[in-house]
Amino acid sequence: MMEKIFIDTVNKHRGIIYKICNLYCDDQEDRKDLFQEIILQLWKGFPSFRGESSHSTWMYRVALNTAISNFKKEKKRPRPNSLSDHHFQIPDTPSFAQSEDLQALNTAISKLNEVDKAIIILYLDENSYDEIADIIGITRTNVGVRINRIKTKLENLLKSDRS
Amino acid sequence: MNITDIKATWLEYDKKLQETQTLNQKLITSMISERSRSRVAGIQRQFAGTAALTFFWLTVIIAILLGNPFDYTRAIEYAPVVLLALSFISILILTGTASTALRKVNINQTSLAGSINEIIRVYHKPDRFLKMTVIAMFSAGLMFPLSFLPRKIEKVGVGTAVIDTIIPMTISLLLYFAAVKLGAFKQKHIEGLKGDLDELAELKALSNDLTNT
Repeated sequence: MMEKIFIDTVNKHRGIIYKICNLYCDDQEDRKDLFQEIILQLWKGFPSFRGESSHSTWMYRVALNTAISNFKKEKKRPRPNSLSDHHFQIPDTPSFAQSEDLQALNTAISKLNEVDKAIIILYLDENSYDEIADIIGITRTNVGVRINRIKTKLENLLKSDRS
Repeated sequence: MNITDIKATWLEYDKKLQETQTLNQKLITSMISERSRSRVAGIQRQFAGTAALTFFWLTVIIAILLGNPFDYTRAIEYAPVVLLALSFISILILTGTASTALRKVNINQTSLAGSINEIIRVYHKPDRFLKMTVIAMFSAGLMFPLSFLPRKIEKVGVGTAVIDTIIPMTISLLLYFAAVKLGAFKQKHIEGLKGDLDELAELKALSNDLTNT
């Protein structure tokens, strides 16, 4: 029963995990590894999730904590039972290549540092300043200051990319 | 592209991701059953390795104490072996305590800043135990000849007995230094350590970045 609720929750918000994997990992193999680790961490945390925040806020928290602070980057070597054995692909931005703007935006966000990337993902996904402050662990005022800085940085990156 | 265009592009991306095929139960179940690549799980595995190695040496020492293969006749002769057994028991207890504390680490209920700081704290945990294990193992080789000292004193006198004991201890020490100098332990250990230190520096930079906002 719990497994079914978990799978439904993950599926409902799978876009959050895809976006984080795409922006924090350069190649498909790393993305799959990160995806698996996020699912594992979500599963571990699921029984203690008490609904104090929404499912999506909890998923952002776990996924970003895993991608930034808890994911062990190992040297490339073939691993048994790797996710690559499964016919599973993370839909990345190139698969939506019809949109040049999206490609450019993805490239610009990739150039930001890890924390700025997290903040802009949360901002673009329309989380409130309070939610962002809670997930990142900084004050609401700092979120505002930081978002303004990142917006300017992104606009400049996109301008320089076009010229 | 201004921020309004950026948002519109992002929402288009989000919509497309939500239209992708849902993940099936089999795939998610297989992901859950795979080995974790988290930093905490990696350190847990390091602890398990340290505990297994310590347990092996403790078993060897207990076998020596029970079987008395060197025909010790006095309690004092057992002193180096008993000391080693005690140090290995201490390492096992400390590793067990640290491992239990590590199991309680939960980065999923905390903010990103809290999670980074928790991981930095966790990173420092194994250093102490790894150092202690290495020291205890090399002490084993060095201290062992001491257990024969009382018997030798009885047979050949203090001077000769001390020299006779110091010689094998010095040889052990020289062999150890030669092995270190020749890089016997260097490659794997340094590479792993360098990777850990790089990651730790990266996390500390992120933590400072969040603190200085």
